[in-house]
Amino acid sequence: MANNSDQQLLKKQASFIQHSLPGLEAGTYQVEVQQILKHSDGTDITGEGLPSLTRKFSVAGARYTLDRNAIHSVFPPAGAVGEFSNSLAHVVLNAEKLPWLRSPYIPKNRPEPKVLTYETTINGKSVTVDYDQDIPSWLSVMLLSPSDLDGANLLNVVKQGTVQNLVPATMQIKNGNSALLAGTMPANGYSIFSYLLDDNNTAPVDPGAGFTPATVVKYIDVPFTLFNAIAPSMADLSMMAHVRAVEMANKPIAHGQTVNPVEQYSLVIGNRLPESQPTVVPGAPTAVPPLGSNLALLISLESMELALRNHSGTTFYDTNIANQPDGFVRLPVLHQWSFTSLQNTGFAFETMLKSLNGRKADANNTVTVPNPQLRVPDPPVYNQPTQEQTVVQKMLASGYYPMNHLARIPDAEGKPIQTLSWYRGPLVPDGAYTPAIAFLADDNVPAIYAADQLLRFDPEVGMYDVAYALAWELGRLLALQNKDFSVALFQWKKKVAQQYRMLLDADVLDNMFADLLQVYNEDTSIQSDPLVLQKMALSHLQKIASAL
Amino acid sequence: MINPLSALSQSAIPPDLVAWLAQFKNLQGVPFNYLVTDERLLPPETIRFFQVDATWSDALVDGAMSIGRQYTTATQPSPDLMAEQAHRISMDKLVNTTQANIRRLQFKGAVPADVSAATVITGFLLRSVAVSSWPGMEVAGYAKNASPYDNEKGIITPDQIQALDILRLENLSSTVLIGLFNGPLYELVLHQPPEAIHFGFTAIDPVNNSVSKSLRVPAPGWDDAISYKEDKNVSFDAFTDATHRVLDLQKMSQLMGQTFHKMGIAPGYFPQQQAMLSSDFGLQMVQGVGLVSFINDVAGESI
Repeated sequence: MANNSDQQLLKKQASFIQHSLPGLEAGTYQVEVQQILKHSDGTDITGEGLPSLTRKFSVAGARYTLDRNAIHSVFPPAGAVGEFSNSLAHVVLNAEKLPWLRSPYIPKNRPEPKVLTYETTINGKSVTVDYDQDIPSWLSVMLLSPSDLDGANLLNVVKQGTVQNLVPATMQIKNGNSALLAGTMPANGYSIFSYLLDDNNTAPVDPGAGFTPATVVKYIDVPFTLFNAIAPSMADLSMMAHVRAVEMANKPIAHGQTVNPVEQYSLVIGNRLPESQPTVVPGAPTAVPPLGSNLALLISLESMELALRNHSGTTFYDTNIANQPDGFVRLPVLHQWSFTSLQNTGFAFETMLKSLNGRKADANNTVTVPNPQLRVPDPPVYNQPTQEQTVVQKMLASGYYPMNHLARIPDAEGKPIQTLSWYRGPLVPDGAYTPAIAFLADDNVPAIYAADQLLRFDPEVGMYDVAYALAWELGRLLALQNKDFSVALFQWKKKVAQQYRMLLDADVLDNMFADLLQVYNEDTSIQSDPLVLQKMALSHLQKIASAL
Repeated sequence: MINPLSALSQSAIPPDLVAWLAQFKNLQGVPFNYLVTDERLLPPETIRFFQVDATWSDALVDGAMSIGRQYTTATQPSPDLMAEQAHRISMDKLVNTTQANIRRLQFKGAVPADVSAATVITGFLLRSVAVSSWPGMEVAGYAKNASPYDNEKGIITPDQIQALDILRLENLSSTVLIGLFNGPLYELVLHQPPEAIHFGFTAIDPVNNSVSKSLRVPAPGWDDAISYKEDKNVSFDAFTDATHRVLDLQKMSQLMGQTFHKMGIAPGYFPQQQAMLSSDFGLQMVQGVGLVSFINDVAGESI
């Protein structure tokens, strides 16, 4: 239960939004344009209009597969082992309009988007407020465990095939412009295309804009008894997706990436609680396979209205699939992950962070985090340290780390010398000593020309501190590696050197020929006659030469 | 009479050079094994706090600037060194200001602020499965006497709480998170991302076909600011198939709506017959927000 002071820790707003409807839903569209020319008095001179022009275009959208980048995160996290018995699995998608891009209704039953109203009073005045009716999403999260599938291995349950595998064998699918292929799904299966069989519609099926019958699809065959039990109803599907808007100011951002200050994500939740392994009672028989492993699937329920739970009437699904002993439902799987649910609260966000650095998660708040600084953890402690041991202790406490060092200088036999040196990165423990190194000499002239100038030697232990030499060399190498920077830097230095030379020339001219230039600038008759100027310059130079 | 050196220092410094050096100061592009030398310094499931060694990053910048620098024994420095001689001091100032604005400018529509990097830059490294499980984890850092912990102890008032500017917050790999703050870090707050807070219940009871939840009750009237308070646990019959643990979300939504309607909350918004909107349902279903804060109380020990 949060108390008042906890509210100050991080005040951020998250908005829950009902839905984010796409401007154009995925599908094929046809535009027909016709022009009618009228005389200025209104009479039509084209006679029923010019011939109309028809153009078709398609809006593509994810249908059978989902790009990996579209998934922002999942819960429970993939591969997690923890206590998830009372939470619903969900998927957070980067594409905020994806859950409403298609519909679980069959195309002819799609309801018109309704705007509802309610009456209320604001500031004492009666107000009528409009709001949208919920629109069901075509995505859903389905949970499966081995016990649902008679102990089947969850790794083998999702199969890979093509769009052709989703088409019933009695129907055909368009392939390109003219060819037709027969579907390959057996007669006791029901898929996203089977709704056409309710009307005995035998027209060829269109795989969708941007897809062919050979498009790779991952699918799962769910027995009809299981599907009847765990599928959501249409009303459930209107609750199972919404949009969240979150502020991005405190989140990690990759280098070079730009984000909006507020980003919107869509969420799809499941309707089934995970199977959880109960507390182990010693002596009681354990189930085989052990309970608790769950496979979560993001499935497509497009046009499945006639097979969902609580569907109205008796449909093809009821008469042909649900009364066969081996009837199944074939669903495209857009994303899958698995997790295990046990009576182990280790996988909660707070528990994981409280148990960092080997700290006990349930310890009192006053118990400190062991080894919080970035240095060698648990360094050796000597009872009565010698001088060298004291130095070693202090260096380790300052964040230094001993590393093998192969020197460039060979020994007497010509082999390179192998020694041990201290290195420390830029991240040092709080309060550690950092030397002040002057990189600029008098008059701001750069002082360091080689990394070796920054080597520091400790005579007490006879070891080098190579931290700053390595940093300098790394900077040099990184700059050389980046051609944009190194060329730009070199051009700039050259340009400034040239400018300096020009300024110096002008300065010298100013100093040596000051009076001559003054006469030149003042007497206009000399400016027009170069010979006179030449004579004057010569005589001036002779004067300077004789003075030297 | 013109002094070439002072004339040169008036000319402009190319801004992309400054931008590149500012990235260096944020340790961008430094290979990971230069930051963390050995696995023992950052084993799995650890958090480490540090400050950035300003001399180290100065050495990095000086090394980068050293291309084309030629050593000469002459008393007069060669013209090649003029660029650095005339511009190094002002360049360092520009780099400091740019460094403090790199992250700010990663948000679309932001304008650079007039801040510069502090003398002490501190931060943390987190290596944990939590980083890969909650990718958008939120981080905030506070200095001493401006942190919520000080507010909790009664030292300061809530309006004196001031978060430190984040200079860099990035996933170095799927399990390693680095954060750099513009100032001395006293309190670090790690927060579960709001877009991934999970949905669940306080308790489930499939045997009796009920779940219980503590509901977030919205403010009584529309005139009040939006606020929610958690109410006592309410139990619902919510399973449509208890053996398969399948919930009837529509029914739950209706029951929640009816509960609010009976309470007289937000009059007119919860019509008794219909279910709640998906966004309101999502808000009620959200369960548990994790937040952990670390206090860095080094107490000024010097090593």
